[in-house]
Amino acid sequence: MLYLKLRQDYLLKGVVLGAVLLFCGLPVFRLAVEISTDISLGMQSSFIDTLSRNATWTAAIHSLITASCSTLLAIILGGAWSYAIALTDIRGKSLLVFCLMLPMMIPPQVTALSWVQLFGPSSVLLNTFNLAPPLGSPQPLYSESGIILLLGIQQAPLVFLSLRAYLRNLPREIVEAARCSGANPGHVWRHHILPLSTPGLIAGGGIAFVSSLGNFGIPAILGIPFSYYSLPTLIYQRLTDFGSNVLGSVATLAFLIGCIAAMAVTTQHLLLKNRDFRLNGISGQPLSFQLGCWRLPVEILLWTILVLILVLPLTALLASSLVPAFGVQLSPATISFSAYREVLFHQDATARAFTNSLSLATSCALLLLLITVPLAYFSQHRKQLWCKKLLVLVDLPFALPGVVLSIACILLFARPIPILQLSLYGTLGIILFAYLARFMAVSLKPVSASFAQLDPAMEEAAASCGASFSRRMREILLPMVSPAAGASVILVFLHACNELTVSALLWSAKHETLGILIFNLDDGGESVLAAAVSVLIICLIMLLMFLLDRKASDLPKGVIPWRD
Amino acid sequence: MARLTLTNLSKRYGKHIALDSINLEAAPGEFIALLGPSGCGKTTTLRLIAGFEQPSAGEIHYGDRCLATAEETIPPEQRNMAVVFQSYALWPHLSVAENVGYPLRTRYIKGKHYREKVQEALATVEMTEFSQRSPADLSGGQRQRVALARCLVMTPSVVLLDEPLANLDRHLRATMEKYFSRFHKKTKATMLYVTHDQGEAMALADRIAVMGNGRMEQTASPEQLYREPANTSVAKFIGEGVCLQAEEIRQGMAWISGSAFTFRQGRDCSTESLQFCIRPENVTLGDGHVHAEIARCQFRGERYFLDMVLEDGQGLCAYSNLRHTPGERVRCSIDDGWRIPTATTFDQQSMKASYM
Repeated sequence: MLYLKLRQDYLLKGVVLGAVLLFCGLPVFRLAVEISTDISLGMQSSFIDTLSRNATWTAAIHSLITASCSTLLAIILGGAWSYAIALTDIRGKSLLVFCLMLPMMIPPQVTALSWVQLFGPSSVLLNTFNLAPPLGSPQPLYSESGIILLLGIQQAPLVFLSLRAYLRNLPREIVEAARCSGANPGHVWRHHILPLSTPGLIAGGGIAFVSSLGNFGIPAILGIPFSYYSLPTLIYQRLTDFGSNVLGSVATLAFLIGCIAAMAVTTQHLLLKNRDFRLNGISGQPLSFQLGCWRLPVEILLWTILVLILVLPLTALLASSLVPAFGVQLSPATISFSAYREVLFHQDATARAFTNSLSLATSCALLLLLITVPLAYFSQHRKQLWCKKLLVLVDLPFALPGVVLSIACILLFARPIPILQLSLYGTLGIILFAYLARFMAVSLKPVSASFAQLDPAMEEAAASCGASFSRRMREILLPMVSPAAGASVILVFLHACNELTVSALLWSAKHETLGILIFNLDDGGESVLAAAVSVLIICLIMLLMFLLDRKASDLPKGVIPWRD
Repeated sequence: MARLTLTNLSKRYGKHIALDSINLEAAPGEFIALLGPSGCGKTTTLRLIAGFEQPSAGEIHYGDRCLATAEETIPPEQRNMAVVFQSYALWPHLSVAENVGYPLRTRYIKGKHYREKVQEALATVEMTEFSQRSPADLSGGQRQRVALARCLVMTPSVVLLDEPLANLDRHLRATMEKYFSRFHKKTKATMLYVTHDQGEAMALADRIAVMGNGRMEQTASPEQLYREPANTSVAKFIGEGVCLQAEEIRQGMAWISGSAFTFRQGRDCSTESLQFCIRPENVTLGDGHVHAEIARCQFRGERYFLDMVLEDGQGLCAYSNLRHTPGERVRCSIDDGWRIPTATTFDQQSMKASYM
C-alpha cells in the first residue's frame, strides 16, 4: 500500500473512475430513467401499452421456454463433460477441452447456419452422399426444439467451465476418506462428488440461462423463418419496423429481459446460499478415477458427441461454402472457391464488414487496456476499496443480456450529445461505445489476475530505487503484466468478432459488422456466401485461440478458459 | 551522513494498533537490528521509514529533514533509502545487470560511469559472471546478493533490510551475513535490519532494538541485552535461561528455598523487584545448596542442556558435561543473577511460543 501524494496518481484515478462510470454506469442509468419516466405517464405510457400486447407475452414465454430447456441441456452436456474430464483418467483431455470450447467461441449465427446447412433438403453435405430428405420436406431445425438444441450446445461450455473450477477444488482427501470407508467409485460420485459440486452446476446453469435469454443469433436464424419470436428477436423486429414510439416499446422489452435475468440471478443466489461448502483441503493432486476397461468406451463416446455437435455441422458449413451456387451438388468436379473470391475481393459489403469488425475489435481491445490496466492496478495491487466497489459496475454490462445494453445505448445516443453536438447514432462510434462497455469485464480479468499475483515489493523496490510513479508504471509494472495484457487484447478481440447481439441492433448502412453480415447474407438467400464468410471467421477465431494457447505458460492461471 | 530519528511513531490500521508510540535514534553508520516475534510491528516500522506507509502519529527525521508526519510524507523515491526485501523483489523482465543498474537509470546516470558502478557493485557481491543472466536462473542466495548489489549501487544513506535471510537455508545464512558485513563497511550507511532470529541480530548488529506488541521493549548492545535485560519478556526472549522469583533480599544476597546467590543490578532498579534472570552458564551442578530434579536432558553437541525443577516448583536450566536421566535429584549453586529492573505484565508465555 504505497502512500503517495502525487498528482499523476490522482489524475489516473480520476480517469479510471470517469471511464467506468461513463461506459458501464451511464447506459444502465439512462435505461432506468427512460423506464421510470415512462411509467409515470400512467395508462398512456408505452410501458403499459407494450405489456398489454399479446406478442410481448408470447415472446416472453418463448424466451423462458427456450432458455430454461436449453439450460437443462447445457447442464447435462457440460456436466457430463466436466465430470468425465475432471475426474477420470481419459486421454487427450486438452484437445477435448479445446474442441468443446469452440461452440462458445464460434458466433451463434454461424453455429445456427452450419446446422441449417447440415440438415434439410438442400444440405450440400447430405446431397453429396445422397442422404438428403426429399425436396419440400421441412427443415427440422426451424422449430422450438431446434432452437433449444443449438442454444444448449452453445451454452454447454459455460456450465463445463464453472463446474470444472469447482471439481478442481475438491480435496482428494474427501474421496480417499470415502474409499477407505468402503464406498466404490460410483457411490463416491453419487454421495460425495455430486452433492459437493452442485454449487458449480447451479452457478454454471445461472450463467447459461442468462446467456440463452439474451441470445439473438440462434432464435433469429432458426425462429424468424417460421415467425417464432423470442424477446431479443421481437426487439429486433420492432426496431426494424420503426413504428410509432418504438423506443419506449423496446425499452420496456429490454426491461422485461432484465427483470427475467435478475430473477434468474436471484434464484441462483438463493439456491447457492445453503450450499456454501468451504472446501479448504490441499487440492494439489487432481482427482482421477481409474476407468479401467471403461476408458476406451468413454473416450469413444465423448469423441462421438464432439463429432455430432461440432465436426459434422462445421463440415456441412465448409461443404456449403465450396459449391459454385446454391443447390449444386458437391463433387471433385464442382468444387469451387468462387464464394471466397466473391466475399474477399468483389463484394463491397463484405470487405467493409471485415474492415469494420476488425478495426472495431482492435480499437476496442486496445482502448480497454487504457482503462483496465490502471483499474486492475488500483483494485488488485494497491487494494483500494473504492476501486473494488467499482468492479461491480464493470461486470454489469457483461452480465446483462446484450440486447438490454444495446437498447440502453440507443436511448443514450438517439439524440446528439449535448454541448458537443456530436451524433453517435448511425455511426461505428455507437457500436464502439457499446463494445467498450460490454467487454470491459473481459479485458479486466487477465490483467487483474496478473496484478493480484504480482509481489507488491516489486513496485516498492522500484520506488526505493528512486523511480517516480509514472516511471514505475512504464518500466516495472507494465512489462510485468504485458503477457496478461496481450491475452486480454486477444480475448476482447475474440469476443468482439463473435458478437452479433449488440451490433444487430446498433448497425446502420455502411456500418455493418461481420456478425450482421452473415445474418444479412443468409436472410437474403445468399447462403453460399454466408457460409464462406462463416468459414473465414472460424479460421480467424481458431488462429486467435492457437495464439492464446501458445502464450499460456506466461499467463496467470484461469486466464485462458480451456487451459488448466 | 546524518542521524535517523523516530519520535513517538504510531501506526493504526482501523482499530488495530500496529505501532504504539515508539522512539528510536540511529547514529550515522550504525547497524541496528529490530528484533521481535512476528506481528510485533518491526516490519511496520521499516515500511514507515521507507515511506511505503504513512504514520498515524509521530515523526520521522533524517538529520534536519522531516521525512514523515501524520500529515505529510516524502514519497519513497525521494528518500534515498535502499530496501532489501524478504522476497528479493528482483524484476523478472530485466537481467541481473539491468536490475542492479536501475537506481542509476532513475538518476539519469549513463555510459561509462553507469557500467563501472554496476560492475563494481556486482564484484562486491561476487556476481560478476552472472550479469547477463535472468533473475529466474539464480538460486535464492544469489538473488539476495543481486538485491544487495542493487542497494549498493545507489549509495544510500539508509539501508532497510526486511528479514532478508528468512527464505534461505541455514547454511547460506552464514555466507550471506558475511556479505552484509562487507556491505556495511563499504557503504558506511545506517542499516536497519528486521529479523526474528536473535542469532542473526547478535552476529550483525551494533545495537538491537527488541520489540513486542507494537512497543519498544529495550534498545541496547547485544552484550548488554543478554546480560542486563530490561524486563522479563526480553529476558525470556533473548538467549536461554529462566526468570526466577526470589523470596527475599537480605544481606545483599537473593534467597530462594533457604539458599542464597549473588546478583548484579542496574542503578534504576526498582526496590520492589524480586525477579532474577539466571543464565544456564551461571548454574553449576555439584555441591551447591539448591536442590533440583531433572525434568529434561537434551544433547547439544558440545554439552548437555538440562531443564530442572526446584523444590518450590520454579524452573531452572543449566549445562552439564554428563547425561542425566529425568527424575534424577541433583544439587547445584547459582553463581550469578541479574535483577530485572521492572517486572512487566507482558504475557511471557505467548512471547516465548511465537518466538519458538
